[in-house]
Amino acid sequence: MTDDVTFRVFRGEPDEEGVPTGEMVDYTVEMDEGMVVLDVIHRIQAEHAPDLSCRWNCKAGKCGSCSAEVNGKSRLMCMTRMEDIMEETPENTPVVVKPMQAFPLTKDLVSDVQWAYDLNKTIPPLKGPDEMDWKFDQIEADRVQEFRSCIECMLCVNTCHVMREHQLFDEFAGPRFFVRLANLEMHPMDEENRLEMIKDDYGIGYCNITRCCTDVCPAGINITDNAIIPLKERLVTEYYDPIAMIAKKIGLR
Amino acid sequence: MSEDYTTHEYDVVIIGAGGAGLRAAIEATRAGASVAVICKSMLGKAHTVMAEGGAAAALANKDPRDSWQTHFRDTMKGGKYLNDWRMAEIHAKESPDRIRELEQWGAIFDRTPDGLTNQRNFGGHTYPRLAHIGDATGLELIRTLQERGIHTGMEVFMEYTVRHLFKTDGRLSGCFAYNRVDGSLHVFKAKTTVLATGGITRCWAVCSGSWEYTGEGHALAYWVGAEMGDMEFVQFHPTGMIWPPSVRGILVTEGVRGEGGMLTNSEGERFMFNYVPEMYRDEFADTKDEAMDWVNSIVADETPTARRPPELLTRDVVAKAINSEKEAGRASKHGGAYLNISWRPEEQVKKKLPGMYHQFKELAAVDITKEPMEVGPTAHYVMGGVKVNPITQESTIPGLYAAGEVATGLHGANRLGGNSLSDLLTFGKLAGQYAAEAAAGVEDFADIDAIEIERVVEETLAPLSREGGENPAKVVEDLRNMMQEKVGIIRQGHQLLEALDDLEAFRKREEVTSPGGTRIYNPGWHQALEIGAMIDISKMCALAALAREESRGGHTRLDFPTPNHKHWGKINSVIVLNTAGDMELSHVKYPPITDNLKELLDADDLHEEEE
Amino acid sequence: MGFTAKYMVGRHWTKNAGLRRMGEKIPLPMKKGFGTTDRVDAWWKGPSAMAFYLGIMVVYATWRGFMEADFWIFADFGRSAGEQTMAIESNGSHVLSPLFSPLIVPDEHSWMPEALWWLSPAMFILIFPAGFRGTCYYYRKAYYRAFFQNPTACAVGKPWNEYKGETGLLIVQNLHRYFLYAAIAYLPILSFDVYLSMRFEGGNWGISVGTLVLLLNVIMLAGYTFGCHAFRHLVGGGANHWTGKSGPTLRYRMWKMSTWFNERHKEWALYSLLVVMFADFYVYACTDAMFGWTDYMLWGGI
Repeated sequence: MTDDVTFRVFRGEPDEEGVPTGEMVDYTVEMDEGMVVLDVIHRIQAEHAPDLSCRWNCKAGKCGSCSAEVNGKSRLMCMTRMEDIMEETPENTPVVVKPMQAFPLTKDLVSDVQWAYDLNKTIPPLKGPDEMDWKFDQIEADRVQEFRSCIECMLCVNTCHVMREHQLFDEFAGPRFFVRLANLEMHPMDEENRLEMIKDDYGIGYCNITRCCTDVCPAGINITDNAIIPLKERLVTEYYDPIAMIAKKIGLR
Repeated sequence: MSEDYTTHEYDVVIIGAGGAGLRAAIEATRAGASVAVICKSMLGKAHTVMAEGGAAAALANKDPRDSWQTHFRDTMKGGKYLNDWRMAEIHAKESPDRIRELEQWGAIFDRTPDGLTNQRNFGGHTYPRLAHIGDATGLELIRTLQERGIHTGMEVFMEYTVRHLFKTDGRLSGCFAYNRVDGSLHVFKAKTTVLATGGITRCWAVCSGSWEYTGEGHALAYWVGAEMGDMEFVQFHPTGMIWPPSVRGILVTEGVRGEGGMLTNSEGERFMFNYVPEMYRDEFADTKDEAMDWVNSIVADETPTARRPPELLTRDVVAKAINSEKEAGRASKHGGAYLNISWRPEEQVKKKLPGMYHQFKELAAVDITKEPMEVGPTAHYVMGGVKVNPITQESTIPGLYAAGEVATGLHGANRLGGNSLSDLLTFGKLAGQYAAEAAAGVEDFADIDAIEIERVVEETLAPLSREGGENPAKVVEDLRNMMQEKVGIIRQGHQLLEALDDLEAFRKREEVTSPGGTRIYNPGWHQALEIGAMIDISKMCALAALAREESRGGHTRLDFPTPNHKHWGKINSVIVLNTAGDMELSHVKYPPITDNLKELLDADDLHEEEE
Repeated sequence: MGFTAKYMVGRHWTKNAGLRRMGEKIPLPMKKGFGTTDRVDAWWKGPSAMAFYLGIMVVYATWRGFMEADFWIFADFGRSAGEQTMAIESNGSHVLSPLFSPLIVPDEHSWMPEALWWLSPAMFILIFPAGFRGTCYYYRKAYYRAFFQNPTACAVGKPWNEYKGETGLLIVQNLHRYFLYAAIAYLPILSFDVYLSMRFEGGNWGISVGTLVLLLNVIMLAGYTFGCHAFRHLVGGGANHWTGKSGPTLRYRMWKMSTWFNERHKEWALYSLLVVMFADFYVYACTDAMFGWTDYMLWGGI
């Protein structure tokens, strides 16, 4: 199978006001069997545009660097097979590739995700007993390990309408960090309580559980059902359910 | 000065934010030093995330017979006794604590039925020894260190590339870096500097490394005059993906074999039984039944009494076996071997090897719970690197430390799977500790020669003003193909000589590449700057390989197919940039091993009768 | 070749080349406004189908509820028309429509004040299941998308610029747990209805098609309730420790069970709704002469 494919790629930089400005440029390259989107981008760099910016690293879906929007969907370019892309793309139309649009643009397909690093610093870390060799069972580990498999690709944040449409980066922690917070809150040895922060600082109430984050997660984390909703339920116990609050006070739970 | 640059001052500058770099940063900040971490990609994306199988440490959670002594013995044996035994001892003794503390920092390893950190079997390890989380242990490690690190006060300079190390009066005084995002230029003054830049395997066409693995760390140390050791020893991991072409080289974890994966050739034969080397003959099963017994006890979570399957031989042996089968015309459909785990129940495969399941499903459209994988050798790890003091991790240049893959010593001629993660934790910690301690003893930041800075700035910006030259991507592609062909898994003298000539030609091409574009996030420019390092480390590898006229571990010569224990088995290569500006090769011995450690080794392997 | 970027015009799409002018400077995010997206799939299908399905269900339930009310619009259909369609009665057995269960008829025999007698029995009973579904984490997604376009689909432009999510008025969604308590109480009540449908005069037992319909309804509602996110939290998800002296605790097992249902919560939610409505429709069709259906006895009942 050798076939040509046309990519319509965003090329541009932020203007003086920081508004991402650029143009959609078409490149046509040859396609080999088994290629992924990132391979095509690399071929474009090698054959047409060495300065086409694109962030990538492991090319095996483990590092979460090559996040972009391919045909309007948030995906890892290294894990998106051209076979599937060709199937979904209507005939005679190019494949549209854009950077993650919820984030500020750096250049071309590269977004600035500094927000994530700043936010992560504000989350109180794990606080457990001082003794080494913690004992807990695989059943408890299992639940948290799902959250640990996050590769911080930020596709969930990019697709979340709270960020994408309303840019509530200051009020809302976004799916990635609810996964992180769920990881900490459900850790069997953790002694810290972050519920008030989750409610007030991280604005979990902005999430209206429309599940776009879960749909795009390349690590297959069930963000909505296993991280966000359980956190919301813990908040209900703490703040909205008097019966549960009383039960908790008198030590029933 | 024609170009502006920003000057930063930090007690300790750490180059690289993989496992070793972050572990060093945590230790150095704990000691009170101001710390900068400079890394080529974003924090948490470093190559460590790609480690899969686990981190080796004699915790003895899974098999109480394990001990640091056995780990020491396994490491030495796997390294074909070219290891720095002092590092192997420190590593075996300290790695259990390095793993335990990770748990307190948030790592969630898989558990034993007793609720402790579980351990997995791996090639060359006598007992189940690898702490792991499914097949994504590297991700767990880097995330844990990252999350610990961001609360310690280290400053991270993400997407910066270090181009040059500065020396002032014979002591390392800082480095020069540029920001890959905006093209800005930076000078970091440092009292001590830790290199934790990982490896060089991007120099080969089929490799498991990412673009970062262009070996600048090795080159930086070499350029500044540090001694480089064991550069001929490159580990080809036996199981990389081979199909489709675009994923060629991506790692298939050794964990597959640890969980009972079987290697077969095109005739359906389990060929590994034919490749058990003499030194391992007592420790491996010689029948399929015995191998199956071992696997069954692993699956049942029992301590095995049978000997292990030959698929779990050390990586050098398995890689060469797959290569030999191919030479004999018994390769799989796309030129490798079949690796089959589909005989185990689907649920178990998905639980134990979730990453592999997805990787094959999504990249190759192969369901590993139902059909075999196709695998072949892939350049994976370089045992060679900066020679360091086994305790302080300081290189031969005062003030320059190295830890992790960029350093040499622990692994000898071949690294055991799982030892690299514990390596970077153990020696990352020591490097951070001693670098901070040394920095505390340095009064003030040394001045850096302004002319030298100007020269580096010029070199850095040069590719942008060149026109009409080659696309750097093309030069890199050709270089990688050349290395694969001539300095690959099986080497020959005349090919190595050719490679050395070719490298000079690549240097000429490198000097005139023209990437075009601006300083803003320009991958072409970045690549143009990497080629120089790639050429120098490729040369180190070829030069050291040409000299070593034997086959041992990660170095195999078709013209010298057997090990020479008497001579080569006792000496390590050292490369240094001499005052004339040439690459100079010599060979040295480690100090004699102490008697109490020697007793732990297999007497048969030492070949002392030949002395 | 030289390395000034060579922009090539695609070979495959040249006939569409005029659609988007090239070289024009455009700002990102380029997609602002309702329904704008780069997606090439039929993203509008899901929310449209859901709006259709939920719309029909809501309209049907409302209509059926009002039908039994003494309310002028429905005077021609409803109770005042002299015929009740809440239950199939036969030899002392009742196949009671789940929309009207537990049956509390607001009239002179009840404790209701006269001002409420016009109400249909469904209208105050329905508050609880409707509230349960209305605050359900799955249905919230479904109707935020299908009805409120908030958002219509992932990475598709919304018509709204303001957004409060569930921090403003919608903070009431946190009451889901109370509706869960009520929904749990419904399970024995609806099970009792199954029992009533099998008890005939003189202590005889029997099973009709209606019995099976009611039984299916209880099973579906139980499956929906056990997979409820609030239920999953209460039985075990709220705990971080699941290991006792002798292995996994009861809470873990309950959580695990609930998780199984929870993973299929969408299916349970949608199908159980259909079954409730069908059960009611079955009763309606068997009691209204217009349809002329009969509730067939399968066994006993005499």
